[in-house]
Amino acid sequence: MNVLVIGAGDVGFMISRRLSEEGMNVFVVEKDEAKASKISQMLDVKVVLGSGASLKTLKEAGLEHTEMLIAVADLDEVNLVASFIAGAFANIPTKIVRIRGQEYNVAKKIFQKDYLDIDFIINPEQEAASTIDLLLEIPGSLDVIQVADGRVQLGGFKMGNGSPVVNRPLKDVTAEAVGVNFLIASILRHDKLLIPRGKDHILPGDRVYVVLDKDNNKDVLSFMGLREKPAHNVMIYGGSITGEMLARRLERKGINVKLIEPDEGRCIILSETLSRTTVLNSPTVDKEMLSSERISDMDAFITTSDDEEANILSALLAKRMGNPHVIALVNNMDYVSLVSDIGVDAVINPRIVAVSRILQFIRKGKIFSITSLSDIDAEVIEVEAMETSDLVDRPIKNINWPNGAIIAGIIRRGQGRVIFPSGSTVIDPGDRVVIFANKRVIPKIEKILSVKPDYF
Amino acid sequence: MNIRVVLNFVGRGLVFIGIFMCLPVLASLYYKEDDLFALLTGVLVCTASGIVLVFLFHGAKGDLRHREGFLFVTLSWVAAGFMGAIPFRVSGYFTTYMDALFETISGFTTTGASILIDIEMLPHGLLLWRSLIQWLGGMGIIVLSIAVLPFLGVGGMQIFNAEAPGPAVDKLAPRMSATAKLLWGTYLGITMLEIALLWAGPMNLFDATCHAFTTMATGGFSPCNASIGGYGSAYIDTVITIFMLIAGANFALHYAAIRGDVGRYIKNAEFRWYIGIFIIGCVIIMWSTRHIFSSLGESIRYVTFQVASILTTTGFATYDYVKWPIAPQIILLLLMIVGGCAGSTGGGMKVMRIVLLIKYAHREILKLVHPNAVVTIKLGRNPVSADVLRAVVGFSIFYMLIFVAASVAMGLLGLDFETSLSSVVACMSNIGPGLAHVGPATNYAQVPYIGKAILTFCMLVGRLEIYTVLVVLSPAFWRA
Repeated sequence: MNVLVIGAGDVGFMISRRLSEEGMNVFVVEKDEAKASKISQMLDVKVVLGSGASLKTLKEAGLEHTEMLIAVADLDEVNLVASFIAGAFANIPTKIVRIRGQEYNVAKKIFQKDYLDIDFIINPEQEAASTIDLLLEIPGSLDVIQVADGRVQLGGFKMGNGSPVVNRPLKDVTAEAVGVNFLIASILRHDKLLIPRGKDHILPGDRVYVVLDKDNNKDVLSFMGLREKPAHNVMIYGGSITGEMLARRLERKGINVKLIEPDEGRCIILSETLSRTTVLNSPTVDKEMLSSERISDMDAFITTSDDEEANILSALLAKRMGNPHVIALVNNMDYVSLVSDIGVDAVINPRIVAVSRILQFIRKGKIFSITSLSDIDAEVIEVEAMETSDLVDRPIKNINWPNGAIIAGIIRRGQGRVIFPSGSTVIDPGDRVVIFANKRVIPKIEKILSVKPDYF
Repeated sequence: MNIRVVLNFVGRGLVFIGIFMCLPVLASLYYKEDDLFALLTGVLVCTASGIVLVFLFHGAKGDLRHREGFLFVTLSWVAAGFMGAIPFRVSGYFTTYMDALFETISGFTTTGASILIDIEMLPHGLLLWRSLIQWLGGMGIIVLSIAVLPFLGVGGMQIFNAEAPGPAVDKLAPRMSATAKLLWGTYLGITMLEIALLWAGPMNLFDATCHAFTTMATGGFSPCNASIGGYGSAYIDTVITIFMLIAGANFALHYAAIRGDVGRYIKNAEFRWYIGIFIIGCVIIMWSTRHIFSSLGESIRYVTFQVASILTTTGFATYDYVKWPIAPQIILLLLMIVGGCAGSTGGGMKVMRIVLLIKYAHREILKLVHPNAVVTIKLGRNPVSADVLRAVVGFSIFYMLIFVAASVAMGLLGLDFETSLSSVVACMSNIGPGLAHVGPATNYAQVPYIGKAILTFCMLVGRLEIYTVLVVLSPAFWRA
């Protein structure tokens, strides 16, 4: 498949790398010579130097044969013009366009079929806000992956010493979990991904991914020694676009929001556009201010200012002062895993979020990838079990399953009920199956999932 | 520096070369000659050492980054030279290993300098191997491995760039492996066409194959003592002149032409300069040798062949140009330095670099006349970036430095003035025959051993475009 990526910034680079590794023919258009030279050195893609808004450049990058356009240049206008040119001079089945500007929100009609015909619009700020919103629903989580239309969630948590499930063989822990659907999909330890088996231990400091039923997760959370009450009082530092969007989403859900913003003018605008949010004007985030606003009683503290050093440091300060769930917005890719190591509970990088959302869209809801923190080589796959595949009509323990993959959940056909699989569970044809797999075993899994013509 | 990965890949490359060595084994079986044992020894040693390297460094992990890329390419070429020389030495036709190595590196680098006095005494298997290594080296052994083997699906374009001639590689397809396949496919196709055309003339299939291999690689090895001149056929001279010129042009253009875009030749500034230099060279030499040839037709036939042969750095001869007056010889020496186009199989400094150097110098003049002038250097309509210019200027400086140092060394070894200079140019530009005692009618047999070693180094440096080898030899490369 030929993919045309416009813009070799962080998002363009990550998308190109991923797609090129998956065997697609990637053409990249980039205006900046240094960025173009970097991506052509590092990735096996064809780079064309020039503007994404120029027909000549796009033709040089194989516009006529493009099957998917991903316009993620820095300027919205370039992305819009590129998709316009693509519509006028080529017939491209899929168009994905990044649009940041709020001003285009009122004219959404131009994105529709009769005009630009854009299939998927990605707005990094909005995606970051919705990701933070999701994290706040599961207290203490640092990453949440939604599968099966959100009914199954994989919640990532950092395990502390105090949890009752650490330092013990998993099979003992599971034996104790009577009446609780407790299933660990994977453990991330020192940037390595393990699919745990019964004899493995969870160690303090591990990041574990737990399978959660969206409507019924309190038992599991309390069993693991985590708080189970969703956030109700939240403090946000930084009235950036992301901060504003987040505050608006939260106040709609009835959450009490305090929003701190250093700039007075911006504060006035925020207080006009937001309704229930308390806007606080404070030049800095200091101990005095945080304690007077009772930071330790807040359920979460989120930093969304445009100054990422301030985000990191004020998040750390809030954590020190006893806030249970601090989330920091960090734009620098290299800082992401670093910051989660030094004590910030969750780190949100709008670019990684955007890449993850684009990949989800490309895979048409089949495969979800985890890209929210460091480069984990894992995928969450959601498939419908086919009648003649090796998956069905036998207990799970009899499936010839590769190491490095686990069935994280099953949604029974017709019932919509989430089943937590055990060794004796039988998958029926038509069930939706959620699989958590290390990237390198994915070919083997595809084999198991495939339909066997000679089955009868 | 991840040496384990590099050695693993070099091992795979050796296995690959071992497989190619089986081709002359088949020829040897067919002609039932005495080189079978030597060739089999070569296949065995080359493949076995490759397999040993692969197994020793089996678990090596990590990427080939640009530093490893340089080391990988340089080591592969050196290893290919040492392994490819085995059949020559074992067969006994080469009396020392240094001679065999000189001949092999001269082959792989498409130089075509030979130490053989009587080429025709070699059995057919060795003759085919001698031509085949030129053909492999022409488009590049690494590029071929990228095209055929899946193992090099790593790290972008560094490795490709480290081997391919010219300042920057034009990617024909989004994937490196696809680009390599297209280039090799084009190369193979044109070679087949030439074999057919030569076979249709007064040449048998074996000679046609060998000559087509060495023409398309701009190599210049011939299985005949008298080179192309021995056939005395105007048809063969014409065919080979045309194919030498094809081989000296950018293969990306040939690929475009095959796809139907013939206009790309004219649009390409470097190609226009290349043809211009060829025509001017022909005219000057024809004028200055007007009293040697009896007719204009004869003059055109021999001079165009010789100019094409030297400019594209092939090194075939139909006429002993050492007997020409001094002016045409100087022109030929200059053409040796120019070489073919970027992205061709030719050697030399490349037309593109020469053109850029001239424009660079011209800009300095303009800047002195108009101190405030803003002048962008362009190739055709495309502006050339400062990075490329810097690399070109650096390349030229190193080219000259190595040329001077090696010439002085050759002089110290007792060679005469013309021979010292021209042998170094002929080897660095991968041509083969030089002037005076290393001219087309003579060869490198009488050059002392140290001289042969220096020239072998020059050939390698020239083929890998100077930087690749020099980088590996620099102390900074090995520091952390």
